[in-house]
Amino acid sequence: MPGHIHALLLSEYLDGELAGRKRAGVERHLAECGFCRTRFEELRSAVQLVALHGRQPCPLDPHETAWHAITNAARYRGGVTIRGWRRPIWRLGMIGVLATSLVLGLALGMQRAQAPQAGVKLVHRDIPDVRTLHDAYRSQQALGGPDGIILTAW
Amino acid sequence: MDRAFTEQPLHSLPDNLLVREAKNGDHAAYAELVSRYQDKIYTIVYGQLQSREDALDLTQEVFLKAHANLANFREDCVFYTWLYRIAVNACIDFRRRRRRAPQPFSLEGEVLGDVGFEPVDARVTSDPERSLENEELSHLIRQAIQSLPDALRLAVILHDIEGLPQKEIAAILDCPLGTVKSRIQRGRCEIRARLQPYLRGT
Repeated sequence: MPGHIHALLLSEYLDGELAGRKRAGVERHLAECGFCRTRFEELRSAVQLVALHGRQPCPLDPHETAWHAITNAARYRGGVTIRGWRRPIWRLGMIGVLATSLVLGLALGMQRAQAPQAGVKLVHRDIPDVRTLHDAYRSQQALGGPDGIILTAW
Repeated sequence: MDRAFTEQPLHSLPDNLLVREAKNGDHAAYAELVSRYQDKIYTIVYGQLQSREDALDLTQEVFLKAHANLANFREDCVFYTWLYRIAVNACIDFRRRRRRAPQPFSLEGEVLGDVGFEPVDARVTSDPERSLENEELSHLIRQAIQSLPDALRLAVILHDIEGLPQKEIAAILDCPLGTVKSRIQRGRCEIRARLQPYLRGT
């Protein structure tokens, strides 16, 4: 094998994927070439170290986290996680909904306060300020006649 | 098959039986699957997101999604291949969402290290010096992995850490086998180059 071994071939040899003449060729070359042997040893060490130290242990107890999450699956609404309300997008969304509800509530309240109340209005021909039917009859009696009470609906 | 008839502890059951039990509503069976694959999924997710908080959230999301879609899981494929695919897709979705949303400030990793916070090592060891060396080496190796481009990192994690065969990685990543081989090889070469000063001493 002239020159040096290609890195992909070294990687395949390390994984035990070479067979037959290819494998024998790589082995023969490694026995003769110090440069490739060093590269191969370094590659093997690197891969071993990655396998040994590369895993990130999940810092949560499965029975405390995912298990709870699953048993409380009703709380899952397409992206809300169980451990908290940490996603800014959800927080912003909820704040937006609350703010909108508050503004709408205030606007409706003000509109209702300003709008005249629908119903029946009591009007008397001769008495300017009639509030109740009782007032009207009393005023009517005082004026001495049955006429004058008008009920206006709107 | 009802687990009551098998009379076997959950941890001794193979994945396919646990999946079947979980499909029938056995939460304990699914919890066993979660505890089996939690570290593996977290490693993949952390490798892609490089944020502890996001990785924790997304790891749970992966298991929730898998649980919600368990009925759709066809038993002609391996459970972990299916689960890893959900994890990889969840990472892609998360990063897509993250690109649209503003980046929150994180107090993790180097920032915490800079101000003197170190992760607590709860392991009991008889040789603190050696433990420190190991911790330093682990840190360097993880940094080397994190420094890889996304595609290479994922291939290296799935192959060299999780030990998946290249064919399965190709199925998970939905790309040709040759691409997977090339990514693993390039990732390994970059890690070797980064760790070279330490490898010469080993």
